[in-house]
This record gives sequence, C-alpha cells and structure tokens, in this order.
Amino acid sequence: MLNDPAPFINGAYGIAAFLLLGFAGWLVVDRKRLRVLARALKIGDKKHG
Amino acid sequence: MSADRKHWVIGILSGLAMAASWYAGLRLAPTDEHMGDVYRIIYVHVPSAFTAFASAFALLVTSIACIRNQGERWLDFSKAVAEVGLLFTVLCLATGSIWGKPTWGTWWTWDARLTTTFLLGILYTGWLILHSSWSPGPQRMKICGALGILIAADVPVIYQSVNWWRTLHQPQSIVRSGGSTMAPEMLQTLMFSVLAMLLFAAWLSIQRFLNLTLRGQIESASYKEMK
Repeated sequence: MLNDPAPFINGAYGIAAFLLLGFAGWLVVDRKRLRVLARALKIGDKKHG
Repeated sequence: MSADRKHWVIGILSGLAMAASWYAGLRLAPTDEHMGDVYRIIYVHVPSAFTAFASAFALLVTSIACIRNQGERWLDFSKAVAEVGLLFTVLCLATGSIWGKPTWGTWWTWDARLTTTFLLGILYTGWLILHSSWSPGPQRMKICGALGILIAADVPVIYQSVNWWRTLHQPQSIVRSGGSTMAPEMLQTLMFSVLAMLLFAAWLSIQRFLNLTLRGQIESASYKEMK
C-alpha cells in the first residue's frame, strides 16, 4: 500500500477541477460576448445577457 | 430571471452536485483494503470515462440525424458533444495515468484499454479538425456523421478490451454479469459521482450548443448587413 497517496489524489482532482471549471468558465464568457454582439446586431431576445 | 441566468443557476447546481460527489468519494467512502486511499481517484476517473462514452452515444444519435440531413443544428449539436467528449476523454486518460503510477508503477503503457481510450481521444480530435476544415454544406454533414458513427463504434471495443486482450487494467467490476464486485458503500458513492458528472456534462453540451447557435445567427446577420 502507498505511503502517501495525497499527491496523486490531489493531482487527479486538481486536474479535473481545472479542466471542468475552465471549460464552463469559457462557455460563460463566450455567451456574454456573443450576447453583446447579438444586441449590437439586434438579434434575439433583449432580456438575455 | 433571464434565460441565461436560469442556465447559470442550473450549471451551478449541477457543479455543486459534482462537488458533493467528490466530497463523498474523498471523505465519506471507506478506504480500500488493498489499494488504500489512492483508489479514491476512482470517483473522478470512472465517471469521466462513462461521460466520454455517453458523449459518444450522443454523437451517434446526432450523427445519424446529420447523415439523414435533418438540419445544420444537428451538426452544431454534434460539435458540442464532440468537444465535451474530448474533454472527458482527456480527463479520463489523465486521471487514469495518475492512478497508474502508484498502482502499476508506470504513468503510461500501451495496454489495450488505454490504447483504445487514447484512440477515442484521437477520433474526437479528428472529428473536430474535420468539422473546422470542411466547408459548410451537405457533404460536411455526411462526412462528420460517418466519423461520428465510427467514434461511437470504438466505445464497445474499449468496454470489451479487458476481456478480449490481456491487459494491466483491472477487469470489469461495476457493470458486469453477476453484479458489481465493489462494496455497496463504494458503489453508491460511485453511482452518485457518475450521475453528477453526466448531469454536468449534459449542461456543458447544451451551453456549447446554444453558443454555437448564437454564433451562427450572428454570422448570418453580419453577412446580411455587409450585403
């Protein structure tokens, strides 16, 4: 049995959190940017954003 | 509340469900008798594998719609699930590699399960490259649809790889005939982790699809303005 598994566990969960939060964050930022463009071109519902 | 805010709330809730499942895996699930605490990587590794497979299944459905030429939105949805599928395949490979080092003594080996999963990542990447390099139109729909079906065909090969070839990877222990070999507390935590990650991945796919749809609307409106 491994003496100190913490670095491996932290590494696995750290990479997972980084990848998933990074992708979700990028989606949110991209949506906000697209809504600004859509408003400028008068597309869709003005409630969004 | 605006539609986007509702989406963000659902995203936060599904993210919290995933965080709760990780907490259960790290703090509440019992320690494994043989592997010790390092086995807790299972609560992020196995859900990411299941999610990569579920994305391939979603890609199969959208690819069939693409081949039947049922509209560009199916190709947008294919792109969204291929990106999410690639994300979770990378996560599965990375966490598997981290788990492999303390248990097998190596970060990577060209074992059948690992190689076929690596191939899944290559296929998702290939799909995305093909989609971005081909001009829009019915031909792209059909080519991407065909590759999407090929990607889904890799999933049963990954699943059966531990039975078909000699591998370092452990045999099926969760979904198998005769029931799971895991302790019930571990299995419940794992099922919760799988469900939470699938929910979060579905949310990511839908948000990416909505972004792609909005981008398409903006591009066609700017094209009309230029005319």
